[in-house]
Amino acid sequence: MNNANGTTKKHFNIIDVIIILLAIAVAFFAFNIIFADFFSKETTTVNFVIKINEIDSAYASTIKSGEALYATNGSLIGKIKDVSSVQATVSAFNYETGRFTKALLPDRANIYITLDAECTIKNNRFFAGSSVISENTNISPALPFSYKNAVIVSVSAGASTEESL
Amino acid sequence: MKSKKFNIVDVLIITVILLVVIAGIFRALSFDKLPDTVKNQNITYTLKTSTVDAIFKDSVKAGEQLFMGDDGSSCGKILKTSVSYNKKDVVMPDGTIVAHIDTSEIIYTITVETIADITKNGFYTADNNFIYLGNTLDFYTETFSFTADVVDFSPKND
Repeated sequence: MNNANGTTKKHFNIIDVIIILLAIAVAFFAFNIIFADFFSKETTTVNFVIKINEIDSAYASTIKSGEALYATNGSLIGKIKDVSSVQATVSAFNYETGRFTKALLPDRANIYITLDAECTIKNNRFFAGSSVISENTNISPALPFSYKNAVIVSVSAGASTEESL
Repeated sequence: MKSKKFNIVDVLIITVILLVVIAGIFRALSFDKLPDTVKNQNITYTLKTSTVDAIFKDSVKAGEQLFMGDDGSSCGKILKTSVSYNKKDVVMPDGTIVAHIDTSEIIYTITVETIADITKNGFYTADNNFIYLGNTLDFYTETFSFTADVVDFSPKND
């Protein structure tokens, strides 16, 4: 509708109201998601051990404590606190004794990497970057040698804290 | 003064929004369940894990909360656990196959308690996940993850 000045007078109609309500709802959900997932998160320091099976013994000394360990996708897993290695074994059936026994694998080592990581807690699980930190779970650390698999064998968590901005 | 009139576009948009809202409310209030469902029962159920490395023999403890899925659906509280060694088939020199204990691998039997809506062959958790006998699912506690079969469930005997 035009007024005396010839300009159009704007009225809210039902569509305007619905669009504004929808915009408010979308903004509310976006705000909730952003603040829940990015600015307010529960974190805790988690100490955990990764076991890497049957690597070439020559590579066992290439990982040093004090270094940062990253996943192959580039996210930080944690800081290495300790590294140890033992000769790899395999469970094999001994026909003489009629039992499964642990047989030593020559030139192969299992290494245990102990780490500390500042983990987020989501759905009652610990996450170091995008990696789930849970016993009996495979993880993909970026290492200077190839390996068959790396599995988390121990997890212990400290007290959690709530981070907010 | 120009009177406000609904045009066909207004009517269509309002109709679509109303339908979406009604469908959402209807879906939330009427989750389909099997006809023989008995609601809100205290139950215990038993899980048998796939083989895991014997290094994890102390990783599941009574009293821990159990979860499943990516969204962390609650599955109840662990009542008790027991561990048995895995048995592997071995081809003997005479050609027979004999199962022998391999102490490097274990199998957990885990009893869990929860409140669920039960049916003849399964139950619905609080998050409406249907768990049935023979189901193979991925579960986790706060620090341990495992795959297990649902092998038994029954109303809890207090």
